[in-house]
Order: sequence, then C-alpha cells, then structure tokens
Amino acid sequence: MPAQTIARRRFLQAFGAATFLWPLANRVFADTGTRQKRLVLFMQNNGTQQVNFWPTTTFNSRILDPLLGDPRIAQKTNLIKGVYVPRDLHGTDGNEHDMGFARMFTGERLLSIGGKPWGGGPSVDQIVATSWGIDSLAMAVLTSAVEPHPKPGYDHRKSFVYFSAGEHKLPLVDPFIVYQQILPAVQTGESARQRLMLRRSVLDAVAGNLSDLTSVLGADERRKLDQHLTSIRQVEVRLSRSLQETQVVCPRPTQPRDYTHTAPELLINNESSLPELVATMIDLGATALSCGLVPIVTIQFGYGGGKWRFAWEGIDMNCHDDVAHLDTGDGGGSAINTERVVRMNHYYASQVARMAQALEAVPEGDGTVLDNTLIAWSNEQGRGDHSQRNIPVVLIGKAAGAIRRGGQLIDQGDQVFNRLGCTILNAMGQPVEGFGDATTCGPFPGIF
Amino acid sequence: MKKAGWLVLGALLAEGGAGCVGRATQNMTGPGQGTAQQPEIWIFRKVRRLSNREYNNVVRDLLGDTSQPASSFLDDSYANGYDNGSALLSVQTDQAERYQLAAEQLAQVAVDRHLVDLLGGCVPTNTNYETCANRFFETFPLRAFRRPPTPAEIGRLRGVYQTASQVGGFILGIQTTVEAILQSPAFLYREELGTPSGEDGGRANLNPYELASELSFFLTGSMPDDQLFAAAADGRLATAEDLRREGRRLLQSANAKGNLRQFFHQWLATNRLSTLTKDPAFYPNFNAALARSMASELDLFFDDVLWSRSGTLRELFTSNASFTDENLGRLYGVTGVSGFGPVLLDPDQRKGILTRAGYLAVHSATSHSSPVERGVFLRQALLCTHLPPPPADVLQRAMMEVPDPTKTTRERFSAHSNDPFCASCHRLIDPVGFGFEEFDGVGAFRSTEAGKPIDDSGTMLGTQDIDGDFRGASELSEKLITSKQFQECVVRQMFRFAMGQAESSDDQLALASISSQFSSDTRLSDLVLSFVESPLFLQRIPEGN
Repeated sequence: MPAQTIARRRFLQAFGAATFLWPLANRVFADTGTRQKRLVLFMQNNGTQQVNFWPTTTFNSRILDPLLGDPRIAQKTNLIKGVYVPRDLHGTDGNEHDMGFARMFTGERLLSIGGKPWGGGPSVDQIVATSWGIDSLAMAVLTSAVEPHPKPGYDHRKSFVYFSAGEHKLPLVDPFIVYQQILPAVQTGESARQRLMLRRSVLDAVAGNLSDLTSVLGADERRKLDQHLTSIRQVEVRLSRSLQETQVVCPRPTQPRDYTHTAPELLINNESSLPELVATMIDLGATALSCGLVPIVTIQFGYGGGKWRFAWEGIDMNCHDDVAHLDTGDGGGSAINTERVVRMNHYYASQVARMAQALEAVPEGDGTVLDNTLIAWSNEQGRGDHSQRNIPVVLIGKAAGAIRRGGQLIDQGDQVFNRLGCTILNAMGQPVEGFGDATTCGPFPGIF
Repeated sequence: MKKAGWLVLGALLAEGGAGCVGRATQNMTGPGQGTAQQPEIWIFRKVRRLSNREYNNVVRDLLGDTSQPASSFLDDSYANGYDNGSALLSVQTDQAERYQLAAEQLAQVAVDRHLVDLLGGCVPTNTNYETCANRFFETFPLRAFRRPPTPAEIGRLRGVYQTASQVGGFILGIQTTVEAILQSPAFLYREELGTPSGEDGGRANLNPYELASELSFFLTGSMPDDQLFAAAADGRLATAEDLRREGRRLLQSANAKGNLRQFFHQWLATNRLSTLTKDPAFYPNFNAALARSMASELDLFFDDVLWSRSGTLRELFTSNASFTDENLGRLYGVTGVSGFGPVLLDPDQRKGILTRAGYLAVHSATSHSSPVERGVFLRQALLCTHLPPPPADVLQRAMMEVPDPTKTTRERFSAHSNDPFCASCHRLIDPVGFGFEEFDGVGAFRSTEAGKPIDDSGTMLGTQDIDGDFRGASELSEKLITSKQFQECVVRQMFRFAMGQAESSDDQLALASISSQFSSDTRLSDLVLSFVESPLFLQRIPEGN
C-alpha cells in the first residue's frame, strides 16, 4: 500500500524523533490515515485579561500571540467573544468559579449535593466518547503550593469532566501513569500469551459478577455499575488487542519520571515542576491523538478556582486572590497587576499552542492531524474578579472539514455558554440544536 | 490582605444581594413525615464503593497486606465531605486497571507468604489439592465478599480456578482466583440492598451480613472481624440491640479509635496538615516536621478526650490537657519535654480544640491569620450555617481596595464591616474570626501585631442560640458547647460520615431524633452508637427510578 507507506514516512519525519513499534493495544482507529475526528478540551480558571486577549486591528493579541503569531495555527482558529454564563447558583453555595467550571462544558445547571455545586450532567467530551464507544484521556495538573487539596468541601472543583450529574471522571495527575497507560509493555512469547488468557478469564468472571449485581439495582445504581462494566470491557479490549501481531509505527515519547513514587509532593503542594508536568501531559496527549491511540483528550489547568503562584513566569504570588481578583476592569487594574494577569494568560496560550503545533506537525490524509481535530479552550470566568462576561472561547482545528471558517474573531454580541457544547457536538458529527439546559440555543454563528 | 479571604468567602455570601442575615439559617426543611419514635428513612438501597482508605484497610485485614496499594489509585472525589463517601463514584477504565494491577500484586504476595491462611488452614501437599481448593472456596470468598458468595459467583470463580490451574497448577489456580475475587463487585462495593418487602412501600431490611459491614466500616473503616462474621452467621445481628452490643465491642478496638480520629481530622479539616504550606517570608519556622508534630498532638488529644476522659464535646472544646514534643513545645512556650508527652497548656490561652496549633494553622492563609477563613469555617463546619455567595458587584467593589501593611490584620479586615455592602454578610463572619486574633497564621500566641496590642474581642450574630459578644477563642468555645445549633451540626457531620452521603432535607426527622438524645455532655461514642441503633442503619427504601 504505497500511499500509506508514504503517509507513514511523512508522519515519522514530522516527529523527527526516535520511533517505536507501538502495540495495537490502545488503538481505536483503523489506520492513522483515515479522517478520524479528535477532540481536545482545555479548561482554565480565574478568567483572562480582556484588553490584552481580544484582537483588535490585526488578528493577534499579546496573550494569544503563541497561537495567532503562528500563521498555520491562526488560520485554523476561531475566537468567540460575548460568551456568558447566566448567574444561577441553583440553591448551592458555589460562586462564579463553580458556575463556569462545572457548567461550561456540561451546559447544565449546577447540581446541589449537600449544598455544594456539582456539574448537572455529562460533559461534552463524555457525550462524544459514549457515542463513539471509546474512552477519553483525562489529565490535570492539580499541584498547588498555596492551596493543596484535598480541601474539605471543595471536591467538586477537582474535575470539570463528568460522566453524569454529580459524577466526576477523575483526571490522571501523574504523567508517568499516562505514559504507562498509552504505552503498555509489549506482550510477546508464550508466557505472555498465557498471562493474557488468564487475565481475560478473570475479567470475564468479574463482568459476570457485575451483571448479576446490576440486575437487582434501581436505575441510578445500575448506571453506576454499567459504567464499571464498560470499563472492564475497555480493559478487555486492550488486552485482546495486545495479543494481536499488528503494531502501529509511532514515535516513542520520553518516559516521564515516576512522580507518585519518587516525588509525590510535586503532584500535591510543590509547584517547582509544574510547567514540566503541563508540557509533558500535552506532549503525551498530542502523541496519543496523533497516533490514533486516543481520540479525546481533556486537560485541566489546576483546580477550579485554583491558586497557582506562577513563579516560572516571574510572579510567585497567590495569583488567584492577590492577582486575578485585582483585575477589576476590562482595561485591567494597576499596571503591575495587569502585567501579571497578561503573563499568566500568555502562559496558558503557549501551552494550548504547544498542543496545536504538535498536531499541526503531523500529516494525515491530505492535511494534518489538526485538520481532523477540534481544540476547545475555555475558562471558568471572563475576568479574574469573577465577571462572567466575555468568557474566552478559542476553537482551533477543522474537525475533519466540519468547521469551514477560521482566522477570525466572531464578535456578534452575547452568546449563551451552552452554544459551546452545541458547537462541539455539531463539529463532532452530532447534529444537535442545543446543549444542556438550553435545548434550542444553536451553535456559535459563523463557524460552520 | 483583606482580599485574601475572598475565594473562601465567595463560596459563602449572599446570593443576589438579598440581605444575608435572613438567609443565614440552616437549610433544612423536611416533608414532615414520620413520628418521633419512627423517623422516616430516606436512605436508598445502594452499593457503596470502597474508598481508597477503606481499600487499604480491607486488604490489611483480609490479607495481612500493609503495602497500601490504593495510594496509587485515582484520587477520588467525595460529595459528603468525608473520605468514605464514594457512593456517587463509578469505576472508570483508569481505575479498573488500577484494581487489576493491585489485585495481581496482592494475590502474588498472598500465595507467596500466606498460602495456608488463604486455604483456611489447609496445608497443601501433592495429594490434597482438591481438598485445599474446596477449603479455599468455603472460606475465603465469604470473608472477601463479606457475605456468603452466590452459587453463580462460586461457579465463575471455580471456572477461573480450573482454567488457571490447568495452565500452571494448583497455586496459580488459587492466585488467579484471588485476583478475580479482589476485582469482583462484592469485594469492591459494600451492598446495602436488603430484600425489599412487598409492603411498606417496598422498604427493605438490611440482612445480617450487610449490617455487619455497615457497622464495621462506620466504626473501624474496614471489613467485619471474625466475631462480627460469627454474629451475622448465627442470627445474632438483626436488631438495634444486636448492633449496639457489637458496636460497643468494636469501639474498643484500635481500628475504631483510628477511624474516629479520621472523623475528627476530616470534620475539622486538620487532615490538611499533611500537605499544609506557609509562606516562608512570613512563617520561617513552619515546616513539614512541625506540621507532623501538630497532627500527632491532635491524634493523641482526640484519643485522650474520647477514651481516657469524659469523651464529650465539652471536653473536646474546653480541655487544656494536651500533648507536645520539643518541636511543638517551642510554639506553645512549653519547655522540658522530649518525645511526645502530656502537658497542661496555659488555660488563659488554650482551651479546647479550637486553640490547638494544628487547627489554627490549617484555618489561616499562607501569610496571615485570615479571620475570614476562620469565621467562615466555624460557621459552616461547626454551626452548619448556609452562607450563600456575594453578588458579583459587591465582590468587585471589595477587591478594588488595596491592603495597607502597616495595619493589624483586624484593622485591614475591618473595612469589610465598615462598607455597608460587605457588612451585610461579613458581620456574620469577620467578628467570629476576630476572636481568634490572639493566634497567628501558624497558631502561635501573640499579644501584639504591627506594634499594636491584639484585640481578640468577637461577636456572634445570626445563630439560633449563642448571639452576643465574646473575648478570645476559649470563650467562644465555652459559648459553642451551650449551643443546640452546634450540637445539631455535630450530629449532621456524624450523619455524613456514617451514611457516606450528604444529608438532604428528607433526613431532618431522623437527624432530629438523634439530636434530641445528644448534648455537649453526651459521650461522642454514644452518639456513634445512636446512629448504629437508629432506623437509618437498619432499613433502606427503593430507589426512585
């Protein structure tokens, strides 16, 4: 198959790195040459710096320069201004952080559990994952020197990804575990074959026991165990594929350090490796997406309402309470504070750009992986002082032709936040008219 | 820095700008069913997944394995505020893989080191494999599932055994079967299903094995012990009286003491000491070792109050008897101690848990004492007050004010009280936190700040029964223990821990029934037992579909 061979060669040249024969274990696509869609969500906290975020005369801005300064990325980028989350706490004791964090990608009203504000439905990535019958890769960097978790009563801020109302999909926080998961040990030889056979036998028994229990439960409890059963089946699928001989050629990423066992504080209350954690996760995510190992990746920058210090950007303060909160107007607060908010947000843009450029670098079909991807980057707030107006929404990629427009700022007045989920679902091939609690909101204008 | 309190505060003040005082009430309104004798039960039939802490405890007690495999599991999120409330969590693929890995490692170690125990005492020779396998299937699945396995389950497990033993012999057969058991739902979930009755709305009485698990996990954070299994098997675990008898027995165990310590640490958020950080520019002497000393003091203090003294809220909130080592002694101004030993703290400064360094350090910002955090936490966790968040325009207005470092913390935060917008809610919070001002951000006593004398006068407003002025945290503690609102809040916290879920308005009657028996002079272990013998513990209702 010459076409595929050529594509594969270009693919490998694009990485320019050592390559590796990956087991087919986690592959979900028939071939990397198909126009399989991918979805990437980035969730950020504490708002942006409005004046320095939105382009004015040219299609660029101080904050967005890492993205828009690259013409290949800029032409595949849509910025949507005017997005807002209506003020609605729905009987919870949450605040604007929660309204954005738990609602932006679920589209639902908050769910009160003991007065705490949880997401009221599945997040858009899980809706797509379910319809595709695959698993997403959820990652987050949660370490925080100012406010290490667990903080009692704030578990709802641990994940913006929801399987269903009140039910988090938990993010992986150690890149080493991500690495092990997308790159399991290659199984060869008779003993490995035997081991896999036994594992399947074990999982079959477990699945049978799960089914027995499920049959005596009510609907909610049944749904919970059904999810468990689905997970068991996913593990089985990976096992059975690792028995197959077929392997896909893909670059091997550098193995990250085993944070959990060698330096757990770096995952909890020490930020000294934070930029490395973020970059490593993005690189692993990009590799998994490009190689067709995982079609949906979510990345969360800190807890909802997080309090990073941004020492690596020369700030080194509680950037939530002592910086973001002081950004009290679109023009900013004091000059020094505005500069800090810009630097924080420029950092986030650089990381989103890292993902976009990695996907753009890999040829696929007659374009690049980015052409088959939709990256959606949003925020829990518009401004750090809890304003919910003009919440930044950045969409990058063409979603395999579904998104035809790009290189533009869409500034057409108020856009209810549910349109984000509606746009994503339509881009992923699900023709819906609304999302969450807005059943007829439609997608953003001027995208499709 | 006044703004530093806003994140926490943001979660708590008045919604929509409506006056805060009228809303700062307990948010419990129930449907009014049931009677005082027979409170309505609103706990659904359900399965409760083992939390990570419970998983580690169970493999310790089931297999003698102390490797704590759950430390590499996903970090669960809990909606009840306690680390046993995994009722809402399903198992995602990442976690199913963790379970698989843990089960394989546990099974390997178990057959290597404890094979005869696994086989129920049967010593395998070349000629008795079948006997030992039978013995294994008669004993181990029951303990692992915490109930007799069903014939279907045994059939599947036997199938695994056959397959594996044909491939690799007897031991591999047992090892692989253990893997299957440790990944089975009956191991990973606690069943609270009962058998629905045809009457009474399908209400279900939990069966003896379910009760054994419920009791054991509530009291010890782990699986039933042999005596409890025996009671379940012999029909001696069905009534409230049975549960009280077994509960009393279990409360004497080391596991129960450790588990109740967990309850207090999580209720009071002092479990955060293990990850607490402070800004070294402000608190150069704070470090992880000091935080560990603070946590150790609280462990010893909780045990002492509960098991060596009266075991009451009064004791917990007013005692000046504590424990310190040299490290923490420096902070307390206590000399002449080596290792951890009992001390009497200065009763003019330190009375009760609210004045202990660990509590105070956790409830502070990284660079200051944070009266707002202290006030908010006390109102939420100790008085169960619902404080909705501020309207956004009030928030923005408050944030614009620049802190003045020449002022005391109290002076800086007093702007809240002077601004009528802020004051509508902050009057409920800051004057409570101001009462703690004699303690800095790591819990050290201070009589001056910024060259000015400390003002530790406080005011409590908007409560049901303890409004008024007070001076210092010790006097505040004396007020608290007289408050029925406080006592009822403690009952609610215990409910969340006992039932593994947040209470709803439907649970009001059951809570009121337990609260009516509880005061600041009740032993807290008796409060535990009143949950054990309440209908909440015995029955479940069908889940609404």
